[in-house]
Amino acid sequence: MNKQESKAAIRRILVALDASSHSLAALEAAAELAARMEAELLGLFVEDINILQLAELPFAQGVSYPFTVGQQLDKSKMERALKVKAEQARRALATTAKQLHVRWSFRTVRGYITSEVLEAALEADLLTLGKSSRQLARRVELGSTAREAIARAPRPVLLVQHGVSIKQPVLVVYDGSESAKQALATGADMAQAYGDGLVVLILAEISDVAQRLENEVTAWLQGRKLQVGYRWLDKLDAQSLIQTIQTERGGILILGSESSDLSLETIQEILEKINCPVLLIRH
Amino acid sequence: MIKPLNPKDLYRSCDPNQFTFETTADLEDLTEIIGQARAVEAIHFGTGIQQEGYNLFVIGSPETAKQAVIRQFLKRKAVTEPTPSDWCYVNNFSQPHKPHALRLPPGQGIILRRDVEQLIEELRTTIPAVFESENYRTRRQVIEEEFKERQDKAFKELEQQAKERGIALLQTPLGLAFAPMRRDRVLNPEEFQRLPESERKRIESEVAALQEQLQDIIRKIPQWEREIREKIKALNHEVVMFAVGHLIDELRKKYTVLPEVVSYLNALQQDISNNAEDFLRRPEEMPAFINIPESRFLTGASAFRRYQVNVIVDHSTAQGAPVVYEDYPTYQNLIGRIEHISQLGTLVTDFNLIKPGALHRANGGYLMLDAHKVLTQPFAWEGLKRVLRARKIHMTSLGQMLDLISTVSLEPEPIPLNVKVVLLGDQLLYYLLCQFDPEFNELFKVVVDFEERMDRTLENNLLYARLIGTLTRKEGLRPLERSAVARVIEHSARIVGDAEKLSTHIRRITDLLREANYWAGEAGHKIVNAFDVQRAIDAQIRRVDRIRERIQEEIQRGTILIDTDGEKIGQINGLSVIDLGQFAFGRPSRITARVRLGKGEVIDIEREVELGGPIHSKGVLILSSFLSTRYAIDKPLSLFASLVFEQSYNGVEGDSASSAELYALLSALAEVPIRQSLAVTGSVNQHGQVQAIGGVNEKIEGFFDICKARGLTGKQGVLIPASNVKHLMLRRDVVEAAAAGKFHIYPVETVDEGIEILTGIPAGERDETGNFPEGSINQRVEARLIALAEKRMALAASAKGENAHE
Repeated sequence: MNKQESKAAIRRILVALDASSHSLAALEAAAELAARMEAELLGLFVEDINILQLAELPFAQGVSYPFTVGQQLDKSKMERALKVKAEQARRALATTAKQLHVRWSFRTVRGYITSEVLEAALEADLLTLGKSSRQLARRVELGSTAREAIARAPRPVLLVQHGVSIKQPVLVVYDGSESAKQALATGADMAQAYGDGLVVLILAEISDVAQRLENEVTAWLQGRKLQVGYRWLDKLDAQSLIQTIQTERGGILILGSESSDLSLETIQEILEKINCPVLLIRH
Repeated sequence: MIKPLNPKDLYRSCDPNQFTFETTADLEDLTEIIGQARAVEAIHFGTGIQQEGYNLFVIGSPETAKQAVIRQFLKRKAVTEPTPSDWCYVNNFSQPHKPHALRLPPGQGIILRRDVEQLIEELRTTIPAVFESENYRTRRQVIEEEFKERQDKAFKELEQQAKERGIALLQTPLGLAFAPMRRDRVLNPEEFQRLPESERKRIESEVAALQEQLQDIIRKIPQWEREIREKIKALNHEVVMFAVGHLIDELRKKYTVLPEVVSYLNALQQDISNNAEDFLRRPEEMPAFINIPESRFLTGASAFRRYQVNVIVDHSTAQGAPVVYEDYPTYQNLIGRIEHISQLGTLVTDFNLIKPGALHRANGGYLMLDAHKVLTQPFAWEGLKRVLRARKIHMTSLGQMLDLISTVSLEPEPIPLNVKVVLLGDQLLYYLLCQFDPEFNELFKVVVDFEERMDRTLENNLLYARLIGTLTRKEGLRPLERSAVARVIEHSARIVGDAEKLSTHIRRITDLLREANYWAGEAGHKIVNAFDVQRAIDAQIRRVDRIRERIQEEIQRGTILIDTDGEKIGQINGLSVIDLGQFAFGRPSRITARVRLGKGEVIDIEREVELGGPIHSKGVLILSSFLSTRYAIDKPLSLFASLVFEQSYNGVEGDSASSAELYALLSALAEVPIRQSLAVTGSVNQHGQVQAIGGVNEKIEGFFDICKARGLTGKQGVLIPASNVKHLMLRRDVVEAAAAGKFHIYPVETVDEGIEILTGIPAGERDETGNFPEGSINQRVEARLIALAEKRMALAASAKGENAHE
């Protein structure tokens, strides 16, 4: 494996903000990551056309907790509300970035959220998202934007949910695939930046393969001053992953999205069920 | 004629040879109270009887050192009595402003406090451990999961329903809203308008229905949240009850014989279970008030203040019942106080700030108080009576009582009171209280009246010697020789002015011993001898002697006129006592009487100018009545007589000069001179009997000092009432002069005896015909009075005649 080729330099981090608590957690995580890796933070707020169109419908009513009576919506009211949200997001970004001495920029665009975010992702090396923007759903379920991003984002995606931040150690799932190598490279960088251990979860059905993969990783990591631990997973399903994360007290999980036997559904399930931030790497 | 007294009657000395000891070091300590049989009986009775209201009032002057005596007595008695209970205040978890009082066997209070402290300490590690346990976390997650599921399910179903109708639920900054969708996009208004009207109607009505459902769900959320909170609370409660339970069970077992403690422990367990979060918080997470951290008082470790045990009475080191003397009996020092702590400008308090008073400490035993101090402290007396009546210590702060301050305060549960209060006070206070405070006699039924003096008998002399020995040892003084003891005993008799009594003024005796010890030290004596005692007495007198010396000097210099030889009509030497508190001395005064024709008035000049007191006036009225009823009864008393204390400017009180005044009057009436070498003291009654007076020793010595300074002639002397002979304890030089025949003390029983000594002429008694013998004093007086009466009648008749002529 060529080290040069697998180098996953993260210089620009796009963070999609909608002022929800999940997106604020995403902002925190992105800012911290940017500070550690000396990257730049790009804030993006999308004024959702769907919402604006909705507001123009004659029967449009918004219901928000704890008010049990809906309020009549109209376009200008909605535009103003979106401006307020955008300003909130900008301010949150500015405050966080300033605290951590990170370079930042912020812009507002109008359009369909998913496509705007995915388009903007092209300018960055990493896309950070809140897992969902829903505030009333108690169980974290991937939002539509997050789902789309997993499936189609041209860049690695970092998904963060409300109430958590990136911690050590860094967990990387490794199955020898290209995206896994990429994940390992990023994981190693992060572990180094965060100054703590790396745990490599070797994914292999039989132990011989596991041993081989472990040797591969060891060789690749040689020369890096990292505390590396290895765990063997014989299958990659949500349940066993959650368990491993709990026992390892994992701070972040890095996953190659094109790992041999990972379907999109499995990835979604994993993402929904685990609490720690997840970085999804596509090759 | 009456004979002068024998010298041995003038001074009753104490024979050192009656004692078998050499020095007081040989004597045993005296443990009983001497000479106070009545008081001791009263104390025994008062401390023995258990009924309500039998508190003690100890009467006695401060000089009897009664406080020390009573205290010693009570301590001896208290040691044999059971040690009373300990008392603690603990939190009342249901009504924190009414702390509970707990009664515990002696010494158990601090043990309970330690046990509860330890329990809380253990719980601070146990409870977090319980909450971190796998078991608890799982159970909690299950509950939370259930809630999440319920909510998610509701939303999902709604979303699904919407989706089936081509409608999406969108999150907007202005809340959740439904919108018709076409391929992931919301229909814009134009598209919507292009739809057939029926379709538009359908969408609108469906959106309205969905909206209704959404609102329903939102309405239910608070209820679900409440349910989950309740469930988690119940879980916490259950888990903590279990965790705390086995720790508290140990304590419950330990205190099983004390049901009150057990019920406290139960309440404690409940409260801990209800407030388990407190045990999970770190100190910095304690609630703060507008960003200002609360003072240490209620934060950090002190958040567990409510689980503390405030031991207000601790008898862990006590033996027997307590004997407490409260030197500063303010209301709060007696009843106890509830302190406050200032927090953010307000005053707060809790049961930990309840401080005990003297009554708490003395509960089950004895409380000694100085009556005067109690009465001079505002509200202290009322407060004391209130608790004694109620037999409960009910704490109310003065501020509360008077409605002066309004702040958070407590109403601690009253503590039953069983205490003997021993009030110490003087006679006056006792009688004032009896008269003016109706409750006083209800609450202080036992009076302990200390004698000021005791009989001077052989046994008592020995007891006195032992008392002296005990005092010297207690004070760390040199022992006394037996001659010194004898001298102290003699002086003790002199202090009370009675040859047959001894003083029980322990303080004065102690002072004398201390001073004798000092002089012995000065003289290099290892043992105090009679000379040292005498020196101490002389020095005591010398220190306070200035005024006496000045008066003596003025008499010698002739500024104050006193004759000590020759004879004068209507003039006599009276004797008065000047009392300077610690020291009294006699002072001769010249008394003169003048008579003339008048309407039967005897004028007391002292009274006319208000220099004479009521008793003095009484004496003068008695002698005028004596005159009018003894002589010429059938004639009107027709004289005008005036009596005066010459050169007296400070007022005269007492009737001890009434016999002298009578002698002067008789002399003036009979025109017979009185021997100025004699001085007189004694009061007189209507029958002419001479009665006892006070300060006889000082009076004799006062006249003796003048005569001695002018040179004793052998004719000089003093007339005293015969009933005062037993009080004589005269100075050595007076006794010596008497023995040498140079000074005479005449004991007189009647005026007739006295006038005979003073004039050298017999008084004379009426014969069978009712006449006095010719030439006798009485005959002369009567003749003069008759002459005056006749002259007056004659004058009256001539005045009448003149009137008739007109």
